[in-house]
Amino acid sequence: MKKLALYLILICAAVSFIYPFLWMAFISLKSVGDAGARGLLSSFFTLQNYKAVFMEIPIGRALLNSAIVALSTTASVIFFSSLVGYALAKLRFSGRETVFMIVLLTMMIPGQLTLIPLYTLIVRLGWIDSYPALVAPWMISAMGILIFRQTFISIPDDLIEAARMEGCGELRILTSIFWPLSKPAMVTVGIITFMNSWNEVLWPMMVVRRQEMMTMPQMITTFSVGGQSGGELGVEMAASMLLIIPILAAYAFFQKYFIDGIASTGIKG
Amino acid sequence: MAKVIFEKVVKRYPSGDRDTVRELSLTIDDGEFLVLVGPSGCGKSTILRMLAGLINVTAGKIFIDGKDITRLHPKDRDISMVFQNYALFPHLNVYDNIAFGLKMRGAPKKEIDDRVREASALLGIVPLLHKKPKELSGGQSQRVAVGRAIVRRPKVFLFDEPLSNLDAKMRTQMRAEISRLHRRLKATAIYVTHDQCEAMTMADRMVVLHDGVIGQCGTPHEIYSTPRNTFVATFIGSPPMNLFAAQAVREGAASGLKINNFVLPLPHLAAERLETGRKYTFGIRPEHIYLADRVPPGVNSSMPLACEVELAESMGNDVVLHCNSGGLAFQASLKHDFPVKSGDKINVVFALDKSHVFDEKGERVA
Repeated sequence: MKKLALYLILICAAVSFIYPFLWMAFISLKSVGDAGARGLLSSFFTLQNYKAVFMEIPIGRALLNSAIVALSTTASVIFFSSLVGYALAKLRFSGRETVFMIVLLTMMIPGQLTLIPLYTLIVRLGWIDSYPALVAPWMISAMGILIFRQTFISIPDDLIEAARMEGCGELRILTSIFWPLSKPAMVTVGIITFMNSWNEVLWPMMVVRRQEMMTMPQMITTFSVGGQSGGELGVEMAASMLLIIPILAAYAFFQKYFIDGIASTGIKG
Repeated sequence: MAKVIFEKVVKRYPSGDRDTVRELSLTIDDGEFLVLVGPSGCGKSTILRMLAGLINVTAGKIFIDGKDITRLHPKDRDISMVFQNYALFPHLNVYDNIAFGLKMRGAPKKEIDDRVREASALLGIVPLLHKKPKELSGGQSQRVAVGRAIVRRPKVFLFDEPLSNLDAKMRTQMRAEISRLHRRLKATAIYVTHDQCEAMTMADRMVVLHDGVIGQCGTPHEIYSTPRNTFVATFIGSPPMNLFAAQAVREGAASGLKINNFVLPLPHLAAERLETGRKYTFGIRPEHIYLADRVPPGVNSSMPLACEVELAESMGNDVVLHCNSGGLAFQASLKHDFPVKSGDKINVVFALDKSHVFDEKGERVA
């Protein structure tokens, strides 16, 4: 009985999370006339809305831009955050704890607070409407550093010493020993970073004006809010579906590592 | 292979208020198997790690084959090391673990394969090559760790308490295997242990460390039979040497040591080094104490000493008796060929020509 009640609560919670997604998916597949109906199902499903998205906006280019920005940001965050995480976990130097405290402190600062100084910097560097403007400010993350540091601390020092004796320098130790032993942490940092970067709207809105440099969320927001969609719900939902599919695919592919990473590092998304 | 020289090497950790290793000067000859032995915290692992380059030297220099390697990175010293916890890379199989060092140095694939197979055959681990470290037993892991050390054919091998995680039977087996391997490779090897049994059985020469300094350096036999001080005397040997506070006395023409109310006449050569009235420490190993009626022929024994057996510990071949004679407690190790039990009253004698005398500072006098 107790179990049944528990399952009912869990099902209710799951439905409340899943329903908006299902609604979005079904609306995107409904015809223009059907999109306003309340129910999920329809007698007629069509890919017309998706076709309209591809016809009306350069969604292919936006997808490519998003992929370039999100993948470069993710690769960069994994590399640089693991580099710093390794130093903070395993190297002995004066001020190590202070540096770590400063890294933690940066996590407490709201991101919006740094937008204006960052924007000014990007303008001065002449990077407006370029990939560096979209990637450079997010190439390292305090959250990534924290996750890597916590993971690396648990790796025995003996392995580092053995690797040094066998001919490894510090970078080689990181890439040949620590990375393979920290796959869950890497996937966790990777998915969180990819997701954040992929979904980012505000920053691209600030530094990108030319349509061919726009990322997916920026393009879709402009498309939906800016009136290009003609207020058609189905077309807007189709555009949104295109936005979330890569995230869902990445999560489905790395799900096992992601759960391991969250469990072992004690970090909640 | 290589000759290793420590020249007045000092190590002080930043958090420490005293030197962990104090002005260590030591030469390890080419092909020698040297064992560093001592209690926890004596600095033996620190010495090994300084030689490996894993920690910095505070002062002094280290040479290998005449080349100053004090400030070189570990990878440039041509040394390999076997760690206490094996330190096998968990994500690599046995083959890749053994091949790791060669790969890092960019050796050709064919050479790597040949050398890995040669080392594996030598250690009997060919069937394990495809396994991951977590699938191996302690003994197998240790063999793989040794394999990783020998495959590079370095100038010097370091062993940091490599057998301490193994059970007693496996320890004895691996001890013999490492000794055999050393004889075969004729490599310079430095082995750290706190186990005197390992030290005594494996070493060409051993160094007993105490509080960051060399207590004594010599062959196992030298250290056992003529310990330089009371620390070495009690650290090496199991059960340890019995030490008694004593005073030099002269009775007529003979000199001796008075322990409680018991006077031990000492052999002439030992007696003439004593100063009447001064305090000394008398030492006798448990196996040099005999039952008064079972003294082997040719032994220069003391007068019988009546004592009570407080505890008799049977060790199979031997029995260790914890004896007490009027407050004088000592241990005797006797052959297990007579019935003796706790509470028995027995008479024992000391083999005087096997006795040791130390001065008030604990340094050997005779």
